[in-house]
Amino acid sequence: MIHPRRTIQAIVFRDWISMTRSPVLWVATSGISAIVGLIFCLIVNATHQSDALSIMEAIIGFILMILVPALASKPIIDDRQIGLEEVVFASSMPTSIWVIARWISGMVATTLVLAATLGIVVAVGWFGNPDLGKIVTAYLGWIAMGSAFAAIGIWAAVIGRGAIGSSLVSLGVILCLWLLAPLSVLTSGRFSELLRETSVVHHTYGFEQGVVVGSDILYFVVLTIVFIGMTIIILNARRLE
Amino acid sequence: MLTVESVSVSMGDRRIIDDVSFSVEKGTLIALLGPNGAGKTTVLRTLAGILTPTIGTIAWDGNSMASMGRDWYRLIGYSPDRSPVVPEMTVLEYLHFIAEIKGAPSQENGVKDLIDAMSLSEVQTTRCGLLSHGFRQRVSVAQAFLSNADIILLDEPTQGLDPEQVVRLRHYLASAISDRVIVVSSHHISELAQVASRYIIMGGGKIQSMGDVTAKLEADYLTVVGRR
Repeated sequence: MIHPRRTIQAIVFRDWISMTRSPVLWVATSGISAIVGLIFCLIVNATHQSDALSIMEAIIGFILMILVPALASKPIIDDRQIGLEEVVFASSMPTSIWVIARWISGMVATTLVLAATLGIVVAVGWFGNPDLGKIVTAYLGWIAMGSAFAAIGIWAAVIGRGAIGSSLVSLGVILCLWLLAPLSVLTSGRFSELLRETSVVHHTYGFEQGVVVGSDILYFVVLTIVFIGMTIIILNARRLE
Repeated sequence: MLTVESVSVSMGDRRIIDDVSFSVEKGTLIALLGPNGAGKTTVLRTLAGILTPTIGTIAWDGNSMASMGRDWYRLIGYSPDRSPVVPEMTVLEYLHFIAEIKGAPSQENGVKDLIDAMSLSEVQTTRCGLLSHGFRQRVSVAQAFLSNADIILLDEPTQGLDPEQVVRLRHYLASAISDRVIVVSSHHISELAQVASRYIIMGGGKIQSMGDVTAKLEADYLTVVGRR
């Protein structure tokens, strides 16, 4: 008999082991902290401190856009390459458990990558007087964004074949969601409003300004549910139901 | 009893297996033989519920795969031709992981028994990625038996095993038959002739010959391969 909690734990543990016993996660976390730290130092030297924090937030958002889907899709692509996917899908485990477990694994990786940037926050706090409220909401926003991007990464891994194809698909979808805001400026009326409301940029602005708006959280929750739901539907269509 | 009736599987316009029919009583190990590309793996993947028959029915004790839906998977223990082990996990971690996925977490002793039966004790704390091909193959076969499945499907389980390991695997399979159906594919008849009671020879996606394992199996096989 399948125990959903135990099965999810087992899958997340398997992904955790694969991430931590291979260089993937360590390269990702040290890479992001090094890149963000370097860019941050350069910006601090060239601009005002408050501008530096805003620019850094935008850079982290951009890096998450590439990194989170890649980290979330990696275990799925690995399973396919080693043939484990066939063993898993020839078991009676419900597809939804598998997808949710993979999303949780993606969120664990996202949280660790974000934790790696906390050193910069500590450094800023040491040398200056940053608005801690703004920083906390920025991290909340990144976690919300990471949740949606992880779901998009999983969906892309399921519909794509290889790692490169899946990365391109997820990047394409996220870029589209990103570019809806500038497109909304070019249009008018209700359509413009719709484009703006569906854009990622529109829903990250509040977090960057230190404001947590319910509709922004709801946007990322809906995005996560939609992509997790689509992944479950696609996989169920490939299995006996 | 496992019944396969007029099963065909197509991918696009191509028919991978065509009009495959056979039935197997419980307590039987059946050897699925044939050269590369004969359709053995497709038959196993279809029985595992990974591929859906385009035409035909598959049933266990009269209950069809289509009507059982996801419950069909409860019957299945499947080991694909590639040993699907997670390189970063130890053998023990991997087998516990598969046990959880198959909903057999209470079978901790089952994992231990399998480790002993498959002679994996010495490598149980070794990462799968560091194992030789033979050990990986044994881990892969072990995971197929984890949930006490009724239908065990082993795709080329002797591939890469040395002669001693082949003998050990044969002994294990002989002891594990019980009231199961075990379907083992191979293109080496000599490896399975001693343990299988029935055989199917495939070629070009069709069944070319089948029957009880007798001395004429080898001659039958050579005739089929020769025809191709």
